[in-house]
Amino acid sequence: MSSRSTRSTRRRLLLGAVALLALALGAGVALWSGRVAPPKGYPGLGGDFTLRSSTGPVSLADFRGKAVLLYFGYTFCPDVCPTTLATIAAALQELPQEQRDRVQVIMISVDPERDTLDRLAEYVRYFDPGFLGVTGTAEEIEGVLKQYRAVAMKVPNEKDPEHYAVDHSAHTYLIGPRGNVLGLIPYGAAPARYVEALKQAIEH
Amino acid sequence: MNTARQTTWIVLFWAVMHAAWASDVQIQDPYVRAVPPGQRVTAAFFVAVNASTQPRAIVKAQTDTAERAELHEHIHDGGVMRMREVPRVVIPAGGRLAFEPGGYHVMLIGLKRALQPGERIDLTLVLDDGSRITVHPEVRRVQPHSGAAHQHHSTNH
Repeated sequence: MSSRSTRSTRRRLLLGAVALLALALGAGVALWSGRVAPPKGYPGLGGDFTLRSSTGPVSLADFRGKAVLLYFGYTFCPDVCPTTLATIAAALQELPQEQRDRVQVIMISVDPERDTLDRLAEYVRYFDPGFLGVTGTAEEIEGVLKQYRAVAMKVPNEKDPEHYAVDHSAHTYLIGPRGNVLGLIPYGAAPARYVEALKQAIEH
Repeated sequence: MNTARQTTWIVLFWAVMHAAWASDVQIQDPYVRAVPPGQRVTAAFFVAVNASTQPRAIVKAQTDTAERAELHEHIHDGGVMRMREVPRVVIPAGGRLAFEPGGYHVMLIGLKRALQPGERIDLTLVLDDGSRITVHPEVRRVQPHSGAAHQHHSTNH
């Protein structure tokens, strides 16, 4: 693969930051790969936030008592986000109704510039009518990304400024009924992995 | 009359050569993703098989269905997905290369209409030897991950 010959210092710094984050998250993913949630979750990772959906403000705290799957994405994402959302939707179909009622899926758009609340709602409902799409100002999103040690970076497109891509963390957070992060499910996991994780979380 | 005959020969020659060139690379199981309403980008996938003894590269993609088609790859970098346009995608001699979710895809930007599952679109791939392959990817609903290992590089490295 040919790589771009010019890479700015900013980009190198970003890559460094990403590498550090990857190390931190790698530990989390490794733990989750063991398929056993650590008894105390991930202290210092995650936490409450309030963002907006097409039907009003949404707080993580609204879903106490439920397991939450939290995913950072954007609607212009042609591949990774749709595949992940379709995988989660398939996983929910495998849960009995009473367990499904105890799960909330939230996608946080990291692209508030293009993702209006209505567009976001339409997008997530395509995968499952119960999915919630939320976003906020760039600062608010930045705050939530920090809480969850996730990253999202706009990649400018000189040829066509409107069609930029956004590099983003591609894993899904499993959040327990008490609001704490129980695990990270890596990109590429099959529906069975989510089913197992959700069952554990609901019983947590 | 002579000119007409010459033209016929030229067209025939071109058609034969074109067919010969294009036969080096075969495109299998092409499909394109159905998208949520209002979505103006999507991705096309397929497996490219190169039967020749020379590496071949896909250098361009074209479609009437979108304003633009680009060759993209995903780089899965420590949990972060980076999507980048690439100028060419090489199919090794005697090898195959999959355009698949999480790896390479043809990104269709600025869809001109909604894509209905089951219909087919036109997609033309241009190779580095100048040959063109037109395929008719079927529009399919987004499929969940199968859980198989994500190996988007060629099997012939």
